[in-house]
Amino acid sequence: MEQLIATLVFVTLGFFFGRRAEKKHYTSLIEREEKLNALPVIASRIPPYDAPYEQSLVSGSVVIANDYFKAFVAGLRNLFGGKVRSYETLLDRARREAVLRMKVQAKKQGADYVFNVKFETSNISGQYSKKLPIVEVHAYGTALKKIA
Amino acid sequence: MLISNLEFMTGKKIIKHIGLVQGSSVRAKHAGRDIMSGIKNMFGGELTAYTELLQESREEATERMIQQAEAVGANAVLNVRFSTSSITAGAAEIYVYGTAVIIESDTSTSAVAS
Amino acid sequence: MEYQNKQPPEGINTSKQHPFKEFSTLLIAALALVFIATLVLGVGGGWLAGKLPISAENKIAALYDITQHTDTAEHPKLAKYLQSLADKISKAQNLPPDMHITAHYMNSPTVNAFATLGGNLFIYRGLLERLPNENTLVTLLGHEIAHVKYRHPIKSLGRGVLVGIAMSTGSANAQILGDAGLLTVLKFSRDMEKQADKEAMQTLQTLYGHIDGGAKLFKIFHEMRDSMDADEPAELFSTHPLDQDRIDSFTQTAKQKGWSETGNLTPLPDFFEKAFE
Repeated sequence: MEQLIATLVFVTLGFFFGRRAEKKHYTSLIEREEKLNALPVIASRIPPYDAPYEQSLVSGSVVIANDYFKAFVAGLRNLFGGKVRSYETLLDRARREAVLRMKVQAKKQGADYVFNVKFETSNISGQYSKKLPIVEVHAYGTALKKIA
Repeated sequence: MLISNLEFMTGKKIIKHIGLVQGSSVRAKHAGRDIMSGIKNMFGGELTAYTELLQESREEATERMIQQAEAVGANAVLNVRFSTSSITAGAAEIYVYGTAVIIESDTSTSAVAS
Repeated sequence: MEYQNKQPPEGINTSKQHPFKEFSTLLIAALALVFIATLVLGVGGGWLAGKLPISAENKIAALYDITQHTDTAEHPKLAKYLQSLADKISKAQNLPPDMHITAHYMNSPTVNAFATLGGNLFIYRGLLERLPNENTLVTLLGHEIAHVKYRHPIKSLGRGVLVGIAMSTGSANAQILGDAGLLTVLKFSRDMEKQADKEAMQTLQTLYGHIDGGAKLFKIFHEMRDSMDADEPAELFSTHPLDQDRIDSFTQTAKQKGWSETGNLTPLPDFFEKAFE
């Protein structure tokens, strides 16, 4: 009984706080993406040949945990199968955040482009948080800075 | 939409790079399938339920990436990469990303890709 | 070559559906699934266990040497009295010939009594001390013997085993769903208690010609909970019907069947109280 109530409380709390955090994150993502839009991020390995460039590795990573509500819904979804919608936003946010962080680093170096962007996603949930997935997204690429 | 994991389109010139496009999809199979696969796992062999799951997922992720590419006005996605990660027990994410590009549509003036 | 970043529109890699909608649909479906599964497994398990011959149940029970854990030997007089009452009640309840009731005395302050496999009854000192007369004692024994008569212990075991196996194979949210399933099982056991109460009333009527002293048993349970300051759990979460409901059902049944609610109460024998000193 206590467990049922506790779960209900966690689900409710997870729903409201998780949703608020997600909305806030999206607003900030969109705002920062706009600001950094001038710096192209390209998934291609062939750099432009128009000028000599200085190159250096840049990366950005983020670890995002799922809220209790989403984990609960995903658990139920696992019973019936199908699209796990509650994890889509989690991964979307994580990836965009990782790219943004990488871009910030590139921008600091005065880069003109980031080339050969690659992603790595891993589930780093520990023994005690099996039910609440923790996802790390790591984005990395090569920043190119025109040599004046 | 042309999709390729090469960095150029053979015989076509890339006019413009429009940045990164990506698609992802997280899916789970129902518990019955999970249990059946668990049993099958003991004997080895292909787990058709999961092959199917990942295939459906991959198709959807690609579809989403194409939608993004279309939305930014690209006509090809180059250097496409897939990645699969296990988010939680029984659910897997397929992630696909690439560079959205505009390639010249007229093949007669084609030159070696830059 | 031109390089430019174009931001794709929002909502391609995510679903627009309100998360609460998915949550509620899934939850309702899951609860329905668990409810049905528990019902099927529980009823099925109980039914299967009920098919087990009584002699087989007795054999299973005989695997454990129960007397080792009881204090029956300390009070031969009391034990004999309890056993004679149990035999009298068994006769009144028309138990099948191969069903044997054995009363065991437990020298412990716990206010409890229960029936288990093989017709074994356990009665604790804590409860016996509080009984005012033989009629109430007969109600208690009648209730527990009725459990044996309807084969409730083996049926509960059967239900528990099947449901338990099913729950242990479940995945992610099995814990929560298990709780939901448990509520379904509790409902079964409440019905069993009501059935046993009814049989106990019938026994009282058969043996004494009235049901006076019967409701007292539940008043004792109620007072005990009061004195311990323990709240009675809500009916939904309890294995037993509410005390007040059980007391009321005595009055109701008496009215329905035209039984007398008052009558001569048979006192407990003298050695009864001495046994607890």
